[in-house]
This record gives sequence, structure tokens and C-alpha cells, in this order.
Amino acid sequence: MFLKRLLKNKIGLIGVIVIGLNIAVALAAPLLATHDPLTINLEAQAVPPSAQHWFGTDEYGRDIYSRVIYGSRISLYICLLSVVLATVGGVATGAAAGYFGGLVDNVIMRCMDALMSFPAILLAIAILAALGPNLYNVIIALGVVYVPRFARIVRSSVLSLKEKEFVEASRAMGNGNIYIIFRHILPNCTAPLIVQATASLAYAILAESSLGFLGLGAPPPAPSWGNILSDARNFMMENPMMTVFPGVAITLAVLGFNLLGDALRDVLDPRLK
Amino acid sequence: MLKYILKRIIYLIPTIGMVAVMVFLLIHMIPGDPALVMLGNDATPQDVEALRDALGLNQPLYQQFFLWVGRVLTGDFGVSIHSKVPVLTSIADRFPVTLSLTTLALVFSLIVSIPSGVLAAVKHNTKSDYMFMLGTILGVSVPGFWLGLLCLLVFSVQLGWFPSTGFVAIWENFWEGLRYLLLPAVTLGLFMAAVVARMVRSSMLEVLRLEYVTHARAKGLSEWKVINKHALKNAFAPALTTIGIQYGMLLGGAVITETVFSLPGLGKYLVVAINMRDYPVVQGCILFIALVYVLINLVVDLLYGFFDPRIEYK
Amino acid sequence: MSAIRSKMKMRGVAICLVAALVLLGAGSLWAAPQPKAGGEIKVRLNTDITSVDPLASPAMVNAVVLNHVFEPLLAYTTNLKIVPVVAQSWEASKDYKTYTFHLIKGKKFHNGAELTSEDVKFSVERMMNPKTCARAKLFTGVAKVEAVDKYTVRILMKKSSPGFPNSLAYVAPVMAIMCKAEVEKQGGQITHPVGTGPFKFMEWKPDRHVILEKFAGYKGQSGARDGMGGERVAYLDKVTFLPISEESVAVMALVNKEVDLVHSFPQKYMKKYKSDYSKQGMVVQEVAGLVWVGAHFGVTRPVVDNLKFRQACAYALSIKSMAKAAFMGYATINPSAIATANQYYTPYFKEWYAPDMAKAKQLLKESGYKGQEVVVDTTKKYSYMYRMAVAVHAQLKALGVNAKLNVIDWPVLLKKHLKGQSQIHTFGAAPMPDPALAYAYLKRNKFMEVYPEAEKLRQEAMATADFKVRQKIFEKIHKICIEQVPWVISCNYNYLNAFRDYVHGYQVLSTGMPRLWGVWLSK
Repeated sequence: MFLKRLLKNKIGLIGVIVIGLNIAVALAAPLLATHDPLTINLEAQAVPPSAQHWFGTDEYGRDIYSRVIYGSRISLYICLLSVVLATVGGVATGAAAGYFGGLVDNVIMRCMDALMSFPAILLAIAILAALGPNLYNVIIALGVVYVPRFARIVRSSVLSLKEKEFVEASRAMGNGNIYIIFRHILPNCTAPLIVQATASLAYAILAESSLGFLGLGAPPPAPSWGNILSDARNFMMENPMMTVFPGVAITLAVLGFNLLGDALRDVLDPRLK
Repeated sequence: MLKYILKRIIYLIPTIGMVAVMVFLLIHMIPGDPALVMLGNDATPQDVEALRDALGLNQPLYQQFFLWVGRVLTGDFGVSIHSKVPVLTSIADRFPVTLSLTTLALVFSLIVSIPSGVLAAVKHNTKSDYMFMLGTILGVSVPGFWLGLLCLLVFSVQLGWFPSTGFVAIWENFWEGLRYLLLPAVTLGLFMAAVVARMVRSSMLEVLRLEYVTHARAKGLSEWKVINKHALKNAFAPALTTIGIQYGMLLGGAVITETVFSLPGLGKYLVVAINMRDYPVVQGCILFIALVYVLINLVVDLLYGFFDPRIEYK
Repeated sequence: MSAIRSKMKMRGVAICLVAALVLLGAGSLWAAPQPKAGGEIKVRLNTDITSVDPLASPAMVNAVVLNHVFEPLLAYTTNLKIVPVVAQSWEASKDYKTYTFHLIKGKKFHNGAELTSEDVKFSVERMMNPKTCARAKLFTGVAKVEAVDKYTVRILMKKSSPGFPNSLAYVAPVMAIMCKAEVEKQGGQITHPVGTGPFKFMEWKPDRHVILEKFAGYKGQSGARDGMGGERVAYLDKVTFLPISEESVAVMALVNKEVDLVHSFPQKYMKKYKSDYSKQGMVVQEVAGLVWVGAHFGVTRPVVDNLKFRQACAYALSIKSMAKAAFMGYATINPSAIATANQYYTPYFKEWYAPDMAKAKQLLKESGYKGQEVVVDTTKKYSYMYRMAVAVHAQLKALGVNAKLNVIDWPVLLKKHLKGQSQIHTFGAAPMPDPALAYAYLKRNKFMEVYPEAEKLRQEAMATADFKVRQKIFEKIHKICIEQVPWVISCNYNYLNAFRDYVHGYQVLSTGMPRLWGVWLSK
């Protein structure tokens, strides 16, 4: 029903197709790539695009086309896991804050305020500066950065729901707090959560590429799009095309999630139209 | 009114305290040793240990924290391990660059977003509205730093219209300074322009549906007047929050933009300090940017009341 | 085991010849043009300077700038001989316990004050103080500095120290003679450096520029320019240093004439230089540098503590392909710690293993290696170390070693390097004009503990100043390195300096330090 409405929405359909293609590329990377993305070929350092190397090679002689293809794996992996982390963290803290109120609420929400007191990318930079650049630290950093957004959504839903009759009734029946939260409250805030998650996916891809560009992302030689761009930058004058391709890949991936996010908002939350 | 402002400021204190704790703790989890980096690659372990002692890095963490907070409160952000220059002096040197960059980016994005957002709302569901939506969604999808690299390649290298390096401050020589800032500001402001434009469009759409606008139209006021006087002011309030949040994002984005365009601002300083493991500088920069961000949000909150008559100062 | 000879062409010599030809050619082309005074040169710095206090930091970039503002007592020539700069002449006592310096009379600081022995005494004492000098440990052997008369200074050593002049000629930081009154006036925190150099400091705007101007009252040595020695004539009115950390931006700026000189031109742009830039008024000079790069073994760590294993590696690792990977061929093959430009260098230092996979595999088998993991540590901070590690890793894999490439942060790598905690890591060692100090690197990977004979030899070299004796000792140490394989040194990388064709009189030095006196512009 919901899916049908989403697919009827033209924007959503385009978004789903773009994301689907992206996922397909990530899954089929070994089939699509013409070279190993990590193999260094010092005989073919920095060659321009050719029949053998479609996007050219970088300063280590690695095939850029193959790296961009494999890059979709890393970028999707990082952004999916970090958004999952943010959602789980946000739901847990937001639900606890809203449900228990009082001191718990105060402490949690002050922490969230503090997290929100940093521009998102700056907080991620700070966390990575501390933990050191590595694939899982990037996921943790981006996850932590987006926790407050989810926490706020969940908390406000919980606040509006917890005094409702059906919740009171469930409590009267002797059901525990955890049960009530999972059974009655969370299912009622999935719509805004899904919208927020989709938007966060788009941000996460952008943030991941920015971090990689600054040298704070997944450590080299991992072919993340940010890393490829960072390498390309030192090579801009020699092979300008090296800069173009990873950027296009990032834009397409982000575009897909943004289109889907817009469509979801229209479908799930008509008020925001 | 004054009471309200005071209350808001007091409300900020615990948040700022948490920010300070976070900034302090984050930096101390950094792997690697600043003393080593400082001494260069032919230092002996004894030298390194001596320097760690001299820098106080061997004291217990909580002692370092309270010392640090005490000094920060008196405006002493510490001294760069690397250059021995007081961090606040360096921040004062560089923040004007970042401020001029973000302000120019803000001006650019408002000039682009408000008129186009209003226009799209007025021409709701027409071809130009669709083009607008397409433009904005591209705007939020293109990584700004990548666009910056492409601009550098095209406008600086190929066409030679803009300088590729160096810096002239906009407050020293406005037109020359603008040449150095224009590309960075546009690429930095693009994301914000797209977000604000969509926000303006949707809040305009909401307001245009409201009764008093219809009423104003019925009174025979010109469309321009209706939009300008009634709709825009009311639509602006929700957009303001977005602008506030986005301005903070600009401060974050400036870190990357300054790195792309080699601008001598706070962001580039921060990135270099991270690579050097210069503890006091990283702490100082992040704390400073966070404080500026908190302050901007405070101002936006207060302004929100000014633009939205529904909010009363309690 | 006898040393294995491998034929390697002496690229250093070839380069010198080419450079000489280029200079000759340039000379005849412009019919020996007369130097023209005036103008401004814009020079790229790899990063911003960290301080204007010459002693505060060992960062190379600070020395690049401050070397033009300040002058040391002594300095290196092109072949790393030591000559006086601020001193007119100097002598050591027979027992190398007393050094006497006779200063140039009438030499002026930028503030007009005359340089006297009091300034020198003050400056050397500043070098000895760990609070004011980043390399104070170079001066721990000094007992006392005496100002004998207005133009004579005597430095008394605690014990015989034949190597001490190297400390005064140190490259980075430049062991600057500073104006005592001026330093005291600025309260110890130097904000406006005042030296005796041919250029005076005008302004430092962090991350933006450092500006120097010609010092009209300069008085110094006579005689031809040779390394940091000889005359220092400033033709340029103004020198502007611009910090540009990104290589591609630096190249871009040079192409657009936004800078005139890039003193560390990236190797990866050489292809483009040969095809395009050389036709667009850009000139690149190349010279073998002093930084020696290779793979170090932590000789007390598991697996690599086995001599046969290390010898197997020495046969398996081609130092040529290591150099090619790291520097795209812009390096001078040299398996020793003594740079080809060093006066101590002899053909013996070319001796090393010729790659031989069969022998390598045989030795690996004999070593009893059972497929344990061997970690090759490296960092991305210096991309050449990373690229060399990639080549090492690949060749070890080919040998059949279960090697793992481990990219870590520079500070972490440095820590492991200093403590000998890495099984194998790639490293570029700082320029060491005195080979006795260069071989001190073998203390770090604990080789000197495992093989004390080498340390004994090194100490012997430290205790004498006799050139021939020292040269023989260093050859012995190199022989030990061949037999014991504490490291596989690959090369000295070459400095590539690029500038516009209207820049004249510029010459690349093996220390990598740009030298802007004697340089003039024809535009």
C-alpha cells in the first residue's frame, strides 16, 4: 500500500531507481570492475583515460574506474551502518528521555544539546581527530553526530503518546516499560523516523566524502570516494578527469537518497508537503 | 524582553559546560604524541619524555581539565605546542577570514534563495516551479568541495579569472579580496541556498493559503504588495531557523572549503593542527567554533520572536 | 659472507653533469648576462613557518626562511665541508677541546648594531639551553663560551669533540647568531627577528606570507658562492614566501606565475613538465639530496631477529624498484647512509646485494621461517614512505613472506621507529652530514645493542677528526651493514626545484635548502 504510493510518486520512483542502481553496482563490483582497485601498477602511473583504463589511473597506477565502482561499496557501507547506529542510538536515548522524564530526560537532552552545539561536520572531524581515521571510527563519528536528530523525534512522539489512553491501559494491565515502548510507542513514530533516516543517508554520504577528502575517512588505500577525490586533488593539473568521476558518483548517490527522502516525506507526512 | 534574553543565556550555561567537557575529552583520546611530532624525526626518547613533562602532558587528566577550564574562562586558550603562539591570537588572526567567507556565502545564498523560493511558490506547480525543485535537489546533492575543485580547475587554471593561491583580505582591499573569496563563497553557499530556497518556498506556500492573504488580495492590493508585505514577513520566521542552522553548517563547511581553496582561515588552521597533533590549537578552534555556533543559534532564537508575532517574550 | 657487487650507474654524477651543461647552455644562450638588481621573487613554502625564532623548531620550513635572515658561525659547502660564515676564520686546538673563532669586523645586524663576541657568546648559550633551542642536545658537550675580546670567541668543550663544528653548521634549525640586545628587548619571545643575513625580516602573516627585504648594510664573506659558504649578495629587493601546502596548487601557481620558485617540485608532475611546462618558460633543476630512504628492520623483533631472514629479504628487495616506486625514478640509488654528495662518500658505499630470488628463497628456507605474519609499518603522511612500503610489501609477498602492510599515523610510526618496535618499516632519515651521526640511527632499531662492534666503531669515528681514518671506519660500518642487514637503504631522493626562466643564478643544493642570495630576475 505504502510502497505502491511511493512508486506512483514519480520523484520517489526515480530515487528508488538511482539507489537501486547504486546498490546493484556495489554488489556487482567484482563483475563490473576491470581491475583490482588496490593493485598498484608502477608501470602505468597517472595515465589519462584510455581503452584499458576508462577513467585513467592515479599516481600509484591504480585504475580509477574500478576504484570508483568499489568506492560505492565503502560509501554505502559507511553511510548505512552509521545511520543504523544513529537510529538505534537516537531511538534508545529519545525513548528513555521521553518516557522516564525528569532527571533522565534532562541529562540526556542536555547531552543532545551539547552534541547539537557543533556544526555536524565539525563534530565528526573532532571525533575522528580523537579516535584516528579508520573505517569503523568514521561510522561511529557519523553515527554519534546524527543521534540527536533521531532522539528529538522519538522523544517528542513519546511525550505526546505516553499519556494516551491505550498506553495507560497497557500499563494498567501490568506490562513493563520496555514492552510498552516497543509495542505501543515506537510503532507510532516510524514515519518521521524513516523520513529522517533517508535524509541522514544523503548527509552521511556527503559527510563521508568530505572526511575522506580531509584525510580523516577510511584510511588509504581503501577506495572510498572521498579518498579518491583527495588523491585526485594532488593530481588535478595532470589528470583533471580524475577529479570528475568520483564527484559524479557521489552526486548521484546523494541525489538518489534525496529524491527518495522527498517522496517519502510527501507520502508519509502530508503536512510537510 | 531583557529578562527573556538573560534567561536564554543562563539556559545555555550547562550546554556550554558539556561542550567544554566534550572538546577536552575528545582531544585527549588522540593516538600519537605531540612531543614526538614537535621534536621531529631525529629526537631521542629521552628528549620526548622531557618535553612531555615540560608541556604538562604527564599530569593526570582531571588536573589538566580543570587547569584548562580555568584558563579558558580567563580568555587563555593555551599556547600552540608547535608555534608557541597563543591559540587565541591565532584564532583572532584567522577568524576574520572564516567570518568573511561564511558571511559572503550567507549573502550569496540569501540573494539566490529568497527570490527564487518566493517565485517558485507564487508559480506553484508550473514548469518554473519544477525546474526550481530540480535545481534545489541538485544543490543539496552536489558535494560543495568537489564543485570547488572543478571551479578551481576551470576558472583559475583554464581561464585564469581567479587566483589559485594567496590571499588578500576583503577588509584591506574589497575588490581584490573579493576575487579570492568569490569562488569559495559560492561553492560553500550553494548547499545552504538550496535548503533555504526550499524552506522559503514551502513556508510561502503555507502562508499564501492563509485567510488574511486571500483577504488582502480581495482588498485589491497588488500581488507584489501582498507577497512582500504580508506573505514574506510571515514566511520568513520559519525560514530564519533554517538560516540559523545552516549558518552554523557554513562554519563547519568552511573547514573543507578553506582546505580546497587554501584560504588562511580557522578551518584550515584546524585541519593542519589535527595533522600536527597540536592539542591546544585543536581544542581552541573547536571550542571557539562551537561557541560561535551556540551564539548564532541564540541570536536566531531571539530574532525568531521578532519576526513571528505569535511568540511572546515570557 | 662476501659483499656482492652490483653495478649501478652513478646517477648523481650524471645529474651534476646535466646541471652543469644546463647552466653552461643557459650562460651562452644569454651571452653571460650581468646580474640585475631589484625586483621581487615569490617562493612557495611547503607549509607555513611555525615561528620566527630561528632556534624554536627543527622544522625545515623555518630554516628555509630564516636562513636568509640569520647567519651561523659555520656552514656546509656543497660537498658538506665546513666553512666560516659569521667568523672570518676559526681553529680547533690539537686535542679538539677548544675552538676559537675570529669574527668578521664591522658586520652589522639589521638594526644597525655591530656584531661582537658578546652576541656570539649570548647566541651559543641560547643554543645550549633546551628551553630556547630545539636541538640543544647538540651542544651538551660545551663547557663554556668565552668572549676573549670584541672580535674573538672561544668555545671550551667538556671533552675532546672533533665533530663539534657540525653542530654549529646544523641545517635545521639554523644555529643563528642573534643580536643580544634585540632578543633581550623582545623579552625572549622573538616576534621580529633581527639577524645579520643579506635579507631582513619585514612581516609574517600566518598562513598568508612571510616578507623579507634586501639588507643594504650587509657585510660578509668574499669568494665564490659554495653551498652556504662564500659571498652572499642580495640582488632581489624583496622576497615573499607563500605557504602553499597542496602540491597541485603549487604547480598551478607556478604555471600562472603567481609564484616564481617551487623548491620541492613534485615528481609526479615531471611528465607534464617534460611535455608541456618546459616549453612554457619553466625550468626544473635536479640534484641528489641527503635524505636517505629505506626499510629498517627491528632486529630484536620476532622473525626479523633472524639474520638469515634479513639476508633473504636483502636478496628479495630490489633497492632500484623501491626507489622507483617511491620517487618515480627521481632518486639516486645508494644503499648506504652516506649521501653521494657527502665528502666521505666512496664507491665502496655502492656495495649491496644484487636481487636474486632463488638465493632469497634458499635463505628463507634456511632461516626456518614458518609463515608467521610480518608487518610492514608505514605512514601516509610522507607519501614516499608509503609508496616504498608498497613496493617492499609486494616483493616480500613474492618471496613467500606472509607480509602485511600496516598504514599508521606518522607520530605512531615515529614512536615505533625510535623504540625499534616495528618489524619492518619504511623511513626517510634526516640529512646527516656527519656519517657518525647517520649511523646512530642503528641505535634506534636496537642493532647497536645486538651488534656492539658497530657501535664501538662509531664511537671511534666520533672521537677523531682525521678524514681518512673516519672514512675507513665508515666503510667498515657499511661492511657490517651488508653482512648483518639491519636495514635495506634504497636511495637518496633527488630535489627537484622548478622556477620561471626569468629567475637567474638559482642553484639546487643537496641539503634541499633554497638559497636566494646571488639570485636575480630578468623581467
